[in-house]
Amino acid sequence: MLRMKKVSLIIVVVLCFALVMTACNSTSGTTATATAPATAATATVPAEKIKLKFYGKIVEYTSGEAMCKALQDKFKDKYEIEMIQVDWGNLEKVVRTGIASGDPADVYQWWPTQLKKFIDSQMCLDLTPYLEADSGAWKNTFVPSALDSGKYDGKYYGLPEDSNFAIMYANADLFEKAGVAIPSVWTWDEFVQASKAIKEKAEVFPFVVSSESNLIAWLPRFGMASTSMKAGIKSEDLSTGKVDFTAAYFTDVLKNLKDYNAAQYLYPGKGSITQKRDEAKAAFIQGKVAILAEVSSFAAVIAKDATFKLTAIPWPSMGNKSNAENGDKADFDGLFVPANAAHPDASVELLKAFYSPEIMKIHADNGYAPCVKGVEISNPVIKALVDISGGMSSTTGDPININAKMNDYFSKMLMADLCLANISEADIMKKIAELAK
Amino acid sequence: MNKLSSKSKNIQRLILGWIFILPALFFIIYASVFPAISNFILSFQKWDGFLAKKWVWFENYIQFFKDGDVLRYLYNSVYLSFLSTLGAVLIGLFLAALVFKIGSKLGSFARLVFFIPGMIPVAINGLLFVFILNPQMGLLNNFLKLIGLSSYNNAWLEDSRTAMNCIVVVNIWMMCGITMVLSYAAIRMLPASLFESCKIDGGGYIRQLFSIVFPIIKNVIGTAAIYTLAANFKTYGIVQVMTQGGPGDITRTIPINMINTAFNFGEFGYAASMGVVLSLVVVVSILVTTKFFGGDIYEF
Repeated sequence: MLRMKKVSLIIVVVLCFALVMTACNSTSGTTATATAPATAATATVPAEKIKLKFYGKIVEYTSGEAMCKALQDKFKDKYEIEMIQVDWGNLEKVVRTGIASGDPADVYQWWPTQLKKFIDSQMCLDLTPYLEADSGAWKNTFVPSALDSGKYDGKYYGLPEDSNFAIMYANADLFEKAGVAIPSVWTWDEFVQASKAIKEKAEVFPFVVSSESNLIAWLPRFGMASTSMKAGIKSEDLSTGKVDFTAAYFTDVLKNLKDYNAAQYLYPGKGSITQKRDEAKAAFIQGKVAILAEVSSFAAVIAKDATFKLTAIPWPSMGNKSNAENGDKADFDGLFVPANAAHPDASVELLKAFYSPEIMKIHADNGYAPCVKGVEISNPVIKALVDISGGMSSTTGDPININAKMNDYFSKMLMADLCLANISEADIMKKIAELAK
Repeated sequence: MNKLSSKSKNIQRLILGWIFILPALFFIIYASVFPAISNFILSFQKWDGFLAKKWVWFENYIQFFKDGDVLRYLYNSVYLSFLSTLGAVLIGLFLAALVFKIGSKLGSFARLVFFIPGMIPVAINGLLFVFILNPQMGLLNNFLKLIGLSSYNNAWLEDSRTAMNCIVVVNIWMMCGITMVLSYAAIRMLPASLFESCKIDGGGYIRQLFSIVFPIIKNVIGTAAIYTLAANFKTYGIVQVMTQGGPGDITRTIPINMINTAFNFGEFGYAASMGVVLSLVVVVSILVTTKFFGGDIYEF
């Protein structure tokens, strides 16, 4: 009886242990290594329909559904394409899990400028042979500066879909009420002065930025990029961490941000560091805030909801007064093919169709700025955004590119450490220097 | 002959028993035991989720115990689990006592109402409280404003003093129904004569609860506590929905950090070691709780 009791107890403990640990397990031990195809695209017609997974359906974009439908229609006799909605909040987890499982999607959504960590892990397919086949026929369909955003060590891994960068949307009516002129270029000090005037005269919060999708990290990222440019630091040195993070021009950035938040310029005062994207946008649309930080691709949606005079303004510079040196950089939504995709040639065929002028025109007609040539843009707001992006560089230094832990710290923790935990600027920079090692 | 027949019947019963058990056993071994063993092995390796695994033996565990942040996340897990369990068990018992007292018809309605939070998906519960605790349009701040206590308005999920406690409250709200249902069922099983004899001795309802009911149903309370504790230690969903472990890493727990470490940093081996340590903490906690709620078994 006693023995039976002991055996039962052991079984129960083992099962408890197992059940708790189940959550931590990963699946099979994939040991595949990435190999780029040696030859150019030579897709053959399969005997039966190949099943492909396209992880690039962006429902937040009004063009997303229609573009995916057009792609499915185009290959309806050849491929069975499963369109998967992009989960922006968990995108990195989704991509990594998918690739690690050994059964990834055939195409993944990811920003071409932020592919380095996947390339370092040999997770991306080298698209260069496909792009350069037939004397670069496919390559020449892209806007060169945009295509270069996905180029690493001379090889192309990511393809840009549309120009999408950080922008400030301004309520021009509130600016007018506060007696502040709409700037075409401005410094951080001018931004603070404008914020003061807006708060006092228009009696609304000057600025809102969401913590969701890590938008709030733009503040320290652009600040540091901007001041490092002024200090003569090379952009690649900032992006690889070969800089002295304890230098005064970096701690000054944090001081600026801390002071700005302490002055209650960030909506809604208490709770400013944890604003949801919808809340931030709603506050701006309702006229409770004068400036909203968002991505440029939301221009059409925001313009549709705004009942006031809406305008786009550049990011303020903490370094030199120049839009080219304000730390904001040209960025793009884009796609890449995982190195262990089951059907790489078919994946590339999908990409070629997706980036065709016919499908990209759907994107442009919905108010997004595509990165391929031969697509006409009629929307004046989008044209203005394209003009602003023209003054930007996609190679601006960015500390989040140093490694995944730095990215995590900037994205989720830095502003909380600075404004909520009241950790000193110097200590935060020491932590950043430690992470950069 | 009779002996033989009885033996064959026993074998038949045994075979039938195994036939019923096997599907569940197979599923548990496949979905829990094998992954757990694989996770345990992984905790001694370095793996980025893609390239070949490399044996590093105890390196992940050394890193774990040297990393002050991770130890803080372990503390958060323990704090969240114990406080949530304590609250859920105490409130669950209180509710069971109330429901028992108010009678069967109203009691069954009350039971349903109190059990509903446990039936609602975690994501819905989390979102519900995110709205309630919203600093601008949340129910709580607006209620405080309404009763003239606007000075107490707060960004509940942003303030380091309140963020974790808000999650604890939501956890208690979700889990107390289980203790209530189990305890209520146990109280109902008690013979009326026990209550009557206490009444004759001049004991009121409170006295009856503390002198008779709670000591007798201690084992049931223990079962509820163990279940609640294990569930709380694994908590991922409610933290993810309400704060994502933030602001900063104030409410980050081991399960949240494991996912981050594995899938954002590509350190699957290190994440696995966190899982193993957490599992050991859970097992120890369950053994301590079992000991605490163990003791005499009353017969009546």
